[in-house]
Amino acid sequence: MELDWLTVSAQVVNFLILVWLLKRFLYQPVVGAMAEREHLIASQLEAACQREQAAREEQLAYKKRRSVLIKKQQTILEKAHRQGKEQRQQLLEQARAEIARLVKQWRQELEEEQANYLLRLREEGARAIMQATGRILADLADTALETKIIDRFVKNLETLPQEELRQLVKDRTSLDVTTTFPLGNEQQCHLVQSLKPFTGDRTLVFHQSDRPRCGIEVTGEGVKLDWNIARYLDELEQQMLDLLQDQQSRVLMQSKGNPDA
Amino acid sequence: MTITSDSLLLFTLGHFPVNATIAFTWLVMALLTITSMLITRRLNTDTRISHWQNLLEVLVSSIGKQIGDIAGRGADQYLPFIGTLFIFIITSNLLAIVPGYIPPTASLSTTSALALCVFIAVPLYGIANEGLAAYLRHYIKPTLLMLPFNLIGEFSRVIALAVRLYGNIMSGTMIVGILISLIPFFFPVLLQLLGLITGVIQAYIFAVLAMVYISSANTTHQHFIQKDGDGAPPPV
Repeated sequence: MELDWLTVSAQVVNFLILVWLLKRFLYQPVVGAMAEREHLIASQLEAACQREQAAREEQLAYKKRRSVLIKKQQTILEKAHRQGKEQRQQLLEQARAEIARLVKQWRQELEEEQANYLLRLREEGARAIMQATGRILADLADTALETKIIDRFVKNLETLPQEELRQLVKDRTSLDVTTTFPLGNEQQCHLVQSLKPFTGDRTLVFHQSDRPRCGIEVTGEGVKLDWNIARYLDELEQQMLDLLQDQQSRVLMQSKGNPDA
Repeated sequence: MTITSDSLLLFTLGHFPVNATIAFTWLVMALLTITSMLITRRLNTDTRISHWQNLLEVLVSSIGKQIGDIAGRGADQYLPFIGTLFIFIITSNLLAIVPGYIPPTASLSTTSALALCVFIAVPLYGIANEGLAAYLRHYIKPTLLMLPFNLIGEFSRVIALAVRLYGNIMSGTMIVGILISLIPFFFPVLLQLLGLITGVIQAYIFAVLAMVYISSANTTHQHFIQKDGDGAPPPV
Protein backbone atom coordinates (compact mmCIF):
# COMPACT_ATOMS: atom_id res chain seq x y z
CA MET A 1 0.00 0.00 0.00
CA GLU A 2 1.71 3.12 -1.18
CA LEU A 3 0.63 6.74 -1.14
CA ASP A 4 1.62 8.99 -4.01
CA TRP A 5 1.40 12.47 -2.59
CA LEU A 6 1.50 14.05 -6.00
CA THR A 7 -1.54 12.02 -7.01
CA VAL A 8 -3.21 12.85 -3.71
CA SER A 9 -2.67 16.54 -4.31
CA ALA A 10 -3.89 16.23 -7.88
CA GLN A 11 -6.99 14.33 -6.72
CA VAL A 12 -7.71 16.99 -4.09
CA VAL A 13 -7.55 19.64 -6.78
CA ASN A 14 -9.60 17.44 -9.14
CA PHE A 15 -12.22 16.94 -6.50
CA LEU A 16 -12.45 20.63 -5.69
CA ILE A 17 -12.76 21.40 -9.41
CA LEU A 18 -15.48 18.75 -9.69
CA VAL A 19 -17.30 20.31 -6.75
CA TRP A 20 -17.21 23.67 -8.48
CA LEU A 21 -18.26 22.19 -11.83
CA LEU A 22 -21.16 20.25 -10.41
CA LYS A 23 -22.21 23.21 -8.34
CA ARG A 24 -22.15 25.35 -11.46
CA PHE A 25 -23.76 22.90 -13.89
CA LEU A 26 -25.85 20.63 -11.71
CA TYR A 27 -26.87 21.78 -8.26
CA GLN A 28 -27.50 25.43 -8.91
CA PRO A 29 -29.61 24.92 -12.08
CA VAL A 30 -31.53 21.98 -10.64
CA VAL A 31 -32.13 23.54 -7.25
CA GLY A 32 -32.99 26.82 -8.95
CA ALA A 33 -35.45 25.11 -11.30
CA MET A 34 -37.03 23.23 -8.39
CA ALA A 35 -37.29 26.41 -6.34
CA GLU A 36 -38.76 28.26 -9.29
CA ARG A 37 -41.27 25.47 -9.86
CA GLU A 38 -42.16 25.45 -6.18
CA HIS A 39 -42.66 29.18 -6.37
CA LEU A 40 -44.75 28.75 -9.53
CA ILE A 41 -46.87 26.02 -7.94
CA ALA A 42 -47.21 28.07 -4.75
CA SER A 43 -48.29 31.11 -6.76
CA GLN A 44 -50.71 28.95 -8.78
CA LEU A 45 -52.08 27.48 -5.56
CA GLU A 46 -52.41 30.94 -4.09
CA ALA A 47 -54.16 32.15 -7.25
CA ALA A 48 -56.41 29.10 -7.13
CA CYS A 49 -57.16 29.84 -3.47
CA GLN A 50 -57.96 33.43 -4.33
CA ARG A 51 -60.15 32.31 -7.22
CA GLU A 52 -61.85 29.81 -4.95
CA GLN A 53 -62.40 32.50 -2.36
CA ALA A 54 -63.74 34.85 -5.01
CA ALA A 55 -65.96 32.08 -6.36
CA ARG A 56 -67.20 31.35 -2.84
CA GLU A 57 -67.95 35.01 -2.27
CA GLU A 58 -69.66 35.20 -5.63
CA GLN A 59 -71.64 32.08 -4.80
CA LEU A 60 -72.65 33.66 -1.50
CA ALA A 61 -73.67 36.85 -3.29
CA TYR A 62 -75.68 34.83 -5.81
CA LYS A 63 -77.36 32.91 -3.03
CA LYS A 64 -78.28 36.17 -1.32
CA ARG A 65 -79.58 37.61 -4.57
CA ARG A 66 -81.49 34.43 -5.23
CA SER A 67 -83.12 34.49 -1.80
CA VAL A 68 -84.00 38.17 -2.30
CA LEU A 69 -85.49 37.34 -5.69
CA ILE A 70 -87.44 34.44 -4.24
CA LYS A 71 -88.82 36.72 -1.51
CA LYS A 72 -89.66 39.32 -4.12
CA GLN A 73 -91.31 36.69 -6.28
CA GLN A 74 -93.35 35.46 -3.32
CA THR A 75 -94.39 39.03 -2.50
CA ILE A 76 -95.39 39.64 -6.12
CA LEU A 77 -97.28 36.36 -6.23
CA GLU A 78 -99.08 37.12 -2.99
CA LYS A 79 -99.91 40.60 -4.22
CA ALA A 80 -101.14 39.24 -7.57
CA HIS A 81 -103.16 36.59 -5.76
CA ARG A 82 -104.68 39.19 -3.46
CA GLN A 83 -105.39 41.54 -6.34
CA GLY A 84 -106.88 38.69 -8.34
CA LYS A 85 -109.08 37.77 -5.41
CA GLU A 86 -110.15 41.38 -4.95
CA GLN A 87 -110.77 41.78 -8.67
CA ARG A 88 -112.71 38.54 -8.75
CA GLN A 89 -114.77 39.69 -5.80
CA GLN A 90 -115.29 43.06 -7.48
CA LEU A 91 -116.28 41.41 -10.74
CA LEU A 92 -118.61 39.09 -8.89
CA GLU A 93 -120.19 42.03 -7.10
CA GLN A 94 -120.46 43.88 -10.40
CA ALA A 95 -122.00 40.81 -12.00
CA ARG A 96 -124.40 40.40 -9.10
CA ALA A 97 -125.33 44.07 -9.29
CA GLU A 98 -125.78 43.76 -13.05
CA ILE A 99 -127.90 40.65 -12.58
CA ALA A 100 -129.93 42.36 -9.89
CA ARG A 101 -130.36 45.35 -12.15
CA LEU A 102 -131.35 43.15 -15.07
CA VAL A 103 -133.72 41.19 -12.87
CA LYS A 104 -135.21 44.39 -11.56
CA GLN A 105 -135.46 45.75 -15.08
CA TRP A 106 -136.95 42.49 -16.26
CA ARG A 107 -139.42 42.53 -13.41
CA GLN A 108 -140.34 46.09 -14.15
CA GLU A 109 -140.78 45.25 -17.79
CA LEU A 110 -142.69 42.18 -16.84
CA GLU A 111 -144.88 44.13 -14.48
CA GLU A 112 -145.42 46.79 -17.13
CA GLU A 113 -146.16 44.15 -19.69
CA GLN A 114 -148.41 42.43 -17.21
CA ALA A 115 -150.20 45.68 -16.41
CA ASN A 116 -150.58 46.44 -20.10
CA TYR A 117 -151.76 42.94 -20.71
CA LEU A 118 -154.24 43.14 -17.88
CA LEU A 119 -155.47 46.51 -19.07
CA ARG A 120 -155.88 45.14 -22.55
CA LEU A 121 -157.45 42.03 -21.09
CA ARG A 122 -159.81 44.16 -19.11
CA GLU A 123 -160.86 46.12 -22.15
CA GLU A 124 -160.99 43.11 -24.42
CA GLY A 125 -162.64 41.08 -21.66
CA ALA A 126 -165.28 43.70 -21.10
CA ARG A 127 -165.94 43.87 -24.77
CA ALA A 128 -166.04 40.12 -25.08
CA ILE A 129 -168.28 39.74 -22.03
CA MET A 130 -170.59 42.38 -23.42
CA GLN A 131 -170.77 40.72 -26.76
CA ALA A 132 -171.07 37.22 -25.35
CA THR A 133 -173.58 38.14 -22.71
CA GLY A 134 -175.52 40.19 -25.24
CA ARG A 135 -175.64 37.27 -27.64
CA ILE A 136 -176.55 34.82 -24.88
CA LEU A 137 -179.28 37.03 -23.57
CA ALA A 138 -180.59 37.68 -27.08
CA ASP A 139 -180.54 34.00 -27.90
CA LEU A 140 -181.93 32.68 -24.63
CA ALA A 141 -184.23 35.39 -23.22
CA ASP A 142 -184.85 37.44 -26.30
CA THR A 143 -183.79 40.46 -24.26
CA ALA A 144 -181.18 43.14 -24.97
CA LEU A 145 -178.22 43.34 -22.61
CA GLU A 146 -178.57 47.07 -22.35
CA THR A 147 -182.18 46.69 -21.12
CA LYS A 148 -181.09 44.18 -18.51
CA ILE A 149 -178.30 46.55 -17.38
CA ILE A 150 -180.81 49.37 -17.04
CA ASP A 151 -183.13 47.08 -15.08
CA ARG A 152 -180.36 46.02 -12.85
CA PHE A 153 -179.30 49.62 -12.26
CA VAL A 154 -182.88 50.58 -11.39
CA LYS A 155 -183.17 47.65 -8.98
CA ASN A 156 -179.99 48.78 -7.29
CA LEU A 157 -181.40 52.28 -6.94
CA GLU A 158 -184.42 50.87 -5.17
CA THR A 159 -182.17 49.33 -2.56
CA LEU A 160 -180.21 52.53 -1.97
CA PRO A 161 -180.97 54.72 1.08
CA GLN A 162 -183.28 57.70 0.45
CA GLU A 163 -180.70 60.12 1.81
CA GLU A 164 -178.23 59.21 -0.89
CA LEU A 165 -180.86 59.56 -3.57
CA ARG A 166 -181.85 62.98 -2.23
CA GLN A 167 -178.26 64.03 -2.32
CA LEU A 168 -178.12 63.00 -5.99
CA VAL A 169 -180.95 65.21 -7.09
CA LYS A 170 -180.37 68.07 -4.67
CA ASP A 171 -180.24 71.51 -6.34
CA ARG A 172 -180.31 69.95 -9.77
CA THR A 173 -182.62 70.52 -12.66
CA SER A 174 -180.97 67.90 -14.80
CA LEU A 175 -178.98 64.75 -14.32
CA ASP A 176 -176.25 63.32 -16.56
CA VAL A 177 -176.75 59.73 -17.64
CA THR A 178 -173.66 58.13 -19.13
CA THR A 179 -173.66 54.72 -20.76
CA THR A 180 -171.03 52.65 -22.48
CA PHE A 181 -173.37 51.62 -25.18
CA PRO A 182 -175.61 53.88 -27.29
CA LEU A 183 -179.21 54.05 -26.09
CA GLY A 184 -182.09 53.91 -28.47
CA ASN A 185 -185.22 55.96 -27.96
CA GLU A 186 -187.05 53.03 -26.54
CA GLN A 187 -184.29 52.36 -24.07
CA GLN A 188 -184.07 56.03 -23.16
CA CYS A 189 -187.84 56.11 -22.51
CA HIS A 190 -187.56 52.95 -20.46
CA LEU A 191 -184.79 54.51 -18.45
CA VAL A 192 -186.71 57.78 -17.94
CA GLN A 193 -189.75 55.79 -16.81
CA SER A 194 -187.73 53.65 -14.53
CA LEU A 195 -185.88 56.59 -12.91
CA LYS A 196 -188.96 58.77 -12.63
CA PRO A 197 -189.64 57.73 -9.01
CA PHE A 198 -186.19 58.88 -8.02
CA THR A 199 -185.53 61.88 -10.24
CA GLY A 200 -188.94 63.39 -10.38
CA ASP A 201 -189.33 65.89 -13.24
CA ARG A 202 -185.68 66.54 -13.65
CA THR A 203 -184.29 66.27 -17.17
CA LEU A 204 -182.01 63.41 -18.02
CA VAL A 205 -179.14 64.23 -20.34
CA PHE A 206 -177.75 61.12 -22.06
CA HIS A 207 -174.08 60.63 -22.87
CA GLN A 208 -172.05 57.80 -24.28
CA SER A 209 -168.53 57.10 -22.94
CA ASP A 210 -166.08 54.27 -22.29
CA ARG A 211 -165.67 55.41 -18.69
CA PRO A 212 -168.31 53.23 -17.16
CA ARG A 213 -167.07 49.73 -17.90
CA CYS A 214 -169.94 48.19 -19.72
CA GLY A 215 -172.49 49.85 -17.51
CA ILE A 216 -174.42 52.96 -16.68
CA GLU A 217 -173.91 55.88 -14.33
CA VAL A 218 -176.01 58.80 -13.21
CA THR A 219 -174.15 61.87 -12.00
CA GLY A 220 -175.69 64.50 -9.78
CA GLU A 221 -174.43 67.17 -7.39
CA GLY A 222 -171.18 65.56 -6.24
CA VAL A 223 -172.78 62.11 -6.20
CA LYS A 224 -172.47 59.40 -8.76
CA LEU A 225 -174.60 56.25 -8.90
CA ASP A 226 -173.57 53.48 -11.26
CA TRP A 227 -173.53 49.81 -12.19
CA ASN A 228 -171.09 48.10 -14.42
CA ILE A 229 -169.29 44.81 -14.93
CA ALA A 230 -166.08 46.11 -13.34
CA ARG A 231 -166.49 43.67 -10.42
CA TYR A 232 -166.53 40.71 -12.80
CA LEU A 233 -163.60 42.13 -14.66
CA ASP A 234 -161.72 42.58 -11.36
CA GLU A 235 -162.29 38.92 -10.57
CA LEU A 236 -161.10 37.92 -14.04
CA GLU A 237 -158.08 40.18 -13.67
CA GLN A 238 -157.27 38.68 -10.29
CA GLN A 239 -157.48 35.17 -11.70
CA MET A 240 -155.20 36.08 -14.63
CA LEU A 241 -152.83 37.83 -12.24
CA ASP A 242 -152.63 34.74 -10.03
CA LEU A 243 -151.99 32.61 -13.10
CA LEU A 244 -149.24 34.91 -14.35
CA GLN A 245 -147.57 35.15 -10.96
CA ASP A 246 -147.62 31.38 -10.65
CA GLN A 247 -145.98 31.06 -14.07
CA GLN A 248 -143.47 33.78 -13.22
CA SER A 249 -142.41 32.10 -9.98
CA ARG A 250 -141.97 28.81 -11.89
CA VAL A 251 -139.68 30.54 -14.42
CA LEU A 252 -137.66 32.10 -11.61
CA MET A 253 -137.26 28.75 -9.87
CA GLN A 254 -136.02 27.21 -13.12
CA SER A 255 -133.52 30.04 -13.70
CA LYS A 256 -132.14 29.67 -10.11
CA GLY A 257 -131.71 25.92 -10.56
CA ASN A 258 -129.78 26.49 -13.80
CA PRO A 259 -127.59 29.66 -13.57
CA ASP A 260 -126.50 29.42 -17.24
CA ALA A 261 -130.10 29.62 -18.37
CA MET B 1 -0.73 -7.75 -10.86
CA THR B 2 -0.97 -4.05 -10.22
CA ILE B 3 -2.19 -3.27 -6.74
CA THR B 4 -2.84 0.43 -7.40
CA SER B 5 -3.48 2.45 -10.49
CA ASP B 6 -1.15 5.20 -9.27
CA SER B 7 1.83 3.34 -10.59
CA LEU B 8 0.28 2.94 -14.03
CA LEU B 9 1.66 5.94 -15.85
CA LEU B 10 -0.27 6.70 -19.01
CA PHE B 11 1.33 9.89 -20.29
CA THR B 12 3.00 13.09 -19.15
CA LEU B 13 1.54 16.52 -19.44
CA GLY B 14 4.57 18.77 -19.64
CA HIS B 15 6.55 17.77 -16.56
CA PHE B 16 3.41 16.41 -14.86
CA PRO B 17 3.09 12.60 -15.09
CA VAL B 18 -0.51 11.53 -15.60
CA ASN B 19 -1.21 8.10 -14.13
CA ALA B 20 -4.34 5.98 -14.54
CA THR B 21 -5.91 7.29 -11.33
CA ILE B 22 -5.78 10.88 -12.49
CA ALA B 23 -6.74 10.03 -16.04
CA PHE B 24 -9.81 8.03 -15.02
CA THR B 25 -10.72 10.74 -12.51
CA TRP B 26 -10.70 13.25 -15.33
CA LEU B 27 -12.79 10.86 -17.37
CA VAL B 28 -15.37 10.62 -14.58
CA MET B 29 -15.26 14.39 -14.09
CA ALA B 30 -15.79 14.99 -17.79
CA LEU B 31 -18.62 12.47 -17.91
CA LEU B 32 -20.41 14.03 -14.94
CA THR B 33 -19.91 17.60 -16.10
CA ILE B 34 -20.97 16.98 -19.69
CA THR B 35 -24.00 14.95 -18.61
CA SER B 36 -25.00 17.70 -16.16
CA MET B 37 -24.53 20.37 -18.78
CA LEU B 38 -26.58 18.44 -21.33
CA ILE B 39 -29.41 17.76 -18.98
CA THR B 40 -29.51 21.16 -17.30
CA ARG B 41 -29.21 22.99 -20.63
CA ARG B 42 -32.95 22.92 -21.14
CA LEU B 43 -34.37 22.88 -17.66
CA ASN B 44 -38.06 23.46 -17.53
CA THR B 45 -39.54 25.35 -14.63
CA ASP B 46 -43.08 24.47 -15.65
CA THR B 47 -45.06 21.66 -14.01
CA ARG B 48 -44.33 19.37 -16.99
CA ILE B 49 -40.68 18.21 -17.17
CA SER B 50 -38.63 15.70 -19.13
CA HIS B 51 -37.72 12.25 -17.76
CA TRP B 52 -34.02 13.14 -17.55
CA GLN B 53 -34.74 16.34 -15.66
CA ASN B 54 -37.05 14.40 -13.38
CA LEU B 55 -34.28 11.83 -12.73
CA LEU B 56 -31.78 14.57 -11.98
CA GLU B 57 -34.20 16.39 -9.67
CA VAL B 58 -34.97 13.16 -7.84
CA LEU B 59 -31.22 12.52 -7.41
CA VAL B 60 -30.44 16.01 -6.16
CA SER B 61 -33.50 16.26 -3.91
CA SER B 62 -32.79 12.77 -2.46
CA ILE B 63 -29.23 13.75 -1.63
CA GLY B 64 -30.52 17.00 -0.15
CA LYS B 65 -33.08 15.09 1.93
CA GLN B 66 -30.42 12.70 3.24
CA ILE B 67 -28.21 15.64 4.16
CA GLY B 68 -31.17 17.36 5.78
CA ASP B 69 -31.97 14.24 7.82
CA ILE B 70 -28.43 14.28 9.25
CA ALA B 71 -27.60 17.98 9.41
CA GLY B 72 -30.99 19.43 10.16
CA ARG B 73 -31.48 23.07 9.25
CA GLY B 74 -29.06 24.82 6.86
CA ALA B 75 -28.44 21.65 4.86
CA ASP B 76 -28.29 23.49 1.53
CA GLN B 77 -24.71 24.66 2.15
CA TYR B 78 -23.46 21.03 2.34
CA LEU B 79 -25.17 19.88 -0.86
CA PRO B 80 -22.36 20.68 -3.35
CA PHE B 81 -19.64 19.09 -1.23
CA ILE B 82 -21.44 15.98 0.06
CA GLY B 83 -23.40 15.56 -3.18
CA THR B 84 -20.24 15.66 -5.25
CA LEU B 85 -18.58 13.15 -2.95
CA PHE B 86 -21.50 10.75 -3.41
CA ILE B 87 -21.89 11.25 -7.15
CA PHE B 88 -18.16 11.03 -7.84
CA ILE B 89 -17.66 7.86 -5.76
CA ILE B 90 -20.75 6.07 -7.05
CA THR B 91 -19.94 6.92 -10.68
CA SER B 92 -16.33 5.82 -10.22
CA ASN B 93 -17.46 2.56 -8.65
CA LEU B 94 -20.27 1.77 -11.11
CA LEU B 95 -18.01 2.33 -14.12
CA ALA B 96 -15.92 -0.59 -12.87
CA ILE B 97 -18.21 -2.77 -14.96
CA VAL B 98 -16.64 -1.28 -18.11
CA PRO B 99 -13.73 -3.45 -19.28
CA GLY B 100 -10.36 -1.75 -19.04
CA TYR B 101 -11.61 0.85 -16.60
CA ILE B 102 -9.84 1.10 -13.25
CA PRO B 103 -11.90 2.91 -10.61
CA PRO B 104 -10.02 5.91 -9.16
CA THR B 105 -11.56 5.01 -5.80
CA ALA B 106 -9.53 1.81 -5.87
CA SER B 107 -6.49 4.01 -5.34
CA LEU B 108 -5.53 4.93 -1.82
CA SER B 109 -4.38 8.28 -3.14
CA THR B 110 -7.89 9.13 -4.32
CA THR B 111 -9.62 7.94 -1.15
CA SER B 112 -6.99 9.74 0.92
CA ALA B 113 -7.52 12.88 -1.12
CA LEU B 114 -11.26 12.64 -0.54
CA ALA B 115 -10.75 11.96 3.16
CA LEU B 116 -8.35 14.87 3.29
CA CYS B 117 -11.02 17.06 1.75
CA VAL B 118 -13.47 15.93 4.45
CA PHE B 119 -10.76 16.51 7.07
CA ILE B 120 -10.39 20.11 5.86
CA ALA B 121 -14.14 20.63 5.31
CA VAL B 122 -15.03 19.70 8.90
CA PRO B 123 -13.24 22.65 10.56
CA LEU B 124 -14.05 24.95 7.68
CA TYR B 125 -17.82 24.37 7.96
CA GLY B 126 -17.56 24.41 11.79
CA ILE B 127 -15.75 27.74 11.83
CA ALA B 128 -18.01 29.17 9.16
CA ASN B 129 -21.12 28.26 11.10
CA GLU B 130 -20.03 28.87 14.71
CA GLY B 131 -16.87 30.95 14.64
CA LEU B 132 -13.28 29.93 15.42
CA ALA B 133 -13.50 30.01 19.24
CA ALA B 134 -16.70 28.04 19.45
CA TYR B 135 -15.32 25.45 17.06
CA LEU B 136 -12.05 25.06 18.97
CA ARG B 137 -13.95 24.61 22.21
CA HIS B 138 -15.22 21.29 20.82
CA TYR B 139 -11.74 19.80 21.27
CA ILE B 140 -11.62 20.50 25.02
CA LYS B 141 -15.04 19.10 25.73
CA PRO B 142 -16.04 17.74 28.10
CA THR B 143 -12.65 18.50 29.77
CA LEU B 144 -9.25 19.73 28.67
CA LEU B 145 -7.92 16.22 29.24
CA MET B 146 -9.90 15.03 26.23
CA LEU B 147 -7.95 17.30 23.80
CA PRO B 148 -5.40 14.63 22.73
CA PHE B 149 -8.09 12.01 22.32
CA ASN B 150 -10.21 14.38 20.29
CA LEU B 151 -7.27 15.18 18.04
CA ILE B 152 -6.43 11.47 17.62
CA GLY B 153 -10.10 10.85 16.87
CA GLU B 154 -10.09 13.53 14.15
CA PHE B 155 -7.08 11.98 12.42
CA SER B 156 -8.09 8.38 12.92
CA ARG B 157 -11.53 8.84 11.43
CA VAL B 158 -10.03 10.46 8.34
CA ILE B 159 -7.67 7.52 7.94
CA ALA B 160 -10.55 5.09 8.54
CA LEU B 161 -12.65 6.89 5.98
CA ALA B 162 -9.91 6.70 3.36
CA VAL B 163 -8.87 3.11 4.04
CA ARG B 164 -12.46 1.80 4.21
CA LEU B 165 -13.33 3.05 0.75
CA TYR B 166 -9.96 2.10 -0.72
CA GLY B 167 -10.07 -1.37 0.83
CA ASN B 168 -13.57 -2.15 -0.32
CA ILE B 169 -13.14 -1.01 -3.89
CA MET B 170 -9.59 -2.25 -4.32
CA SER B 171 -10.44 -5.66 -2.84
CA GLY B 172 -13.46 -5.99 -5.10
CA THR B 173 -11.35 -5.27 -8.17
CA MET B 174 -8.59 -7.57 -6.94
CA ILE B 175 -10.94 -10.46 -6.18
CA VAL B 176 -12.54 -10.20 -9.60
CA GLY B 177 -9.06 -10.18 -11.18
CA ILE B 178 -7.96 -13.24 -9.20
CA LEU B 179 -11.18 -15.14 -9.88
CA ILE B 180 -11.04 -14.44 -13.61
CA SER B 181 -7.64 -16.09 -13.65
CA LEU B 182 -8.96 -19.09 -11.67
CA ILE B 183 -12.58 -19.50 -12.84
CA PRO B 184 -13.00 -17.57 -16.04
CA PHE B 185 -16.79 -17.94 -16.46
CA PHE B 186 -19.95 -17.10 -14.57
CA PHE B 187 -18.58 -16.69 -11.05
CA PRO B 188 -16.66 -13.44 -11.73
CA VAL B 189 -19.87 -11.96 -13.15
CA LEU B 190 -21.67 -12.55 -9.83
CA LEU B 191 -18.76 -11.01 -7.96
CA GLN B 192 -18.82 -8.09 -10.39
CA LEU B 193 -22.50 -7.54 -9.48
CA LEU B 194 -21.59 -7.81 -5.82
CA GLY B 195 -18.83 -5.26 -6.45
CA LEU B 196 -21.40 -2.87 -7.93
CA ILE B 197 -23.62 -3.19 -4.87
CA THR B 198 -20.59 -2.71 -2.61
CA GLY B 199 -19.59 0.34 -4.63
CA VAL B 200 -23.01 1.93 -4.21
CA ILE B 201 -23.07 1.15 -0.50
CA GLN B 202 -19.57 2.51 0.00
CA ALA B 203 -20.44 5.70 -1.81
CA TYR B 204 -23.44 6.12 0.48
CA ILE B 205 -21.34 5.30 3.59
CA PHE B 206 -18.56 7.71 2.64
CA ALA B 207 -20.98 10.56 1.97
CA VAL B 208 -23.04 9.92 5.10
CA LEU B 209 -19.97 9.64 7.33
CA ALA B 210 -18.52 12.82 5.86
CA MET B 211 -21.82 14.56 6.60
CA VAL B 212 -21.89 13.17 10.13
CA TYR B 213 -18.33 14.38 10.76
CA ILE B 214 -19.10 17.82 9.44
CA SER B 215 -22.38 18.17 11.29
CA SER B 216 -20.89 16.81 14.54
CA ALA B 217 -18.69 19.89 14.60
CA ASN B 218 -21.71 22.10 14.21
CA THR B 219 -23.78 23.51 17.08
CA THR B 220 -26.87 23.68 14.88
CA HIS B 221 -26.55 19.97 14.33
CA GLN B 222 -26.14 19.38 18.08
CA HIS B 223 -29.29 21.32 18.82
CA PHE B 224 -31.12 19.46 16.06
CA ILE B 225 -30.07 16.05 17.45
CA GLN B 226 -31.00 17.02 21.02
CA LYS B 227 -34.33 18.36 19.90
CA ASP B 228 -35.11 15.08 18.12
CA GLY B 229 -34.01 13.12 21.23
CA ASP B 230 -31.53 11.09 19.21
CA GLY B 231 -27.99 11.70 20.37
CA ALA B 232 -26.32 8.98 18.36
CA PRO B 233 -25.22 9.40 14.75
CA PRO B 234 -26.87 7.15 12.16
CA PRO B 235 -25.52 3.58 12.08
CA VAL B 236 -22.80 2.83 9.56
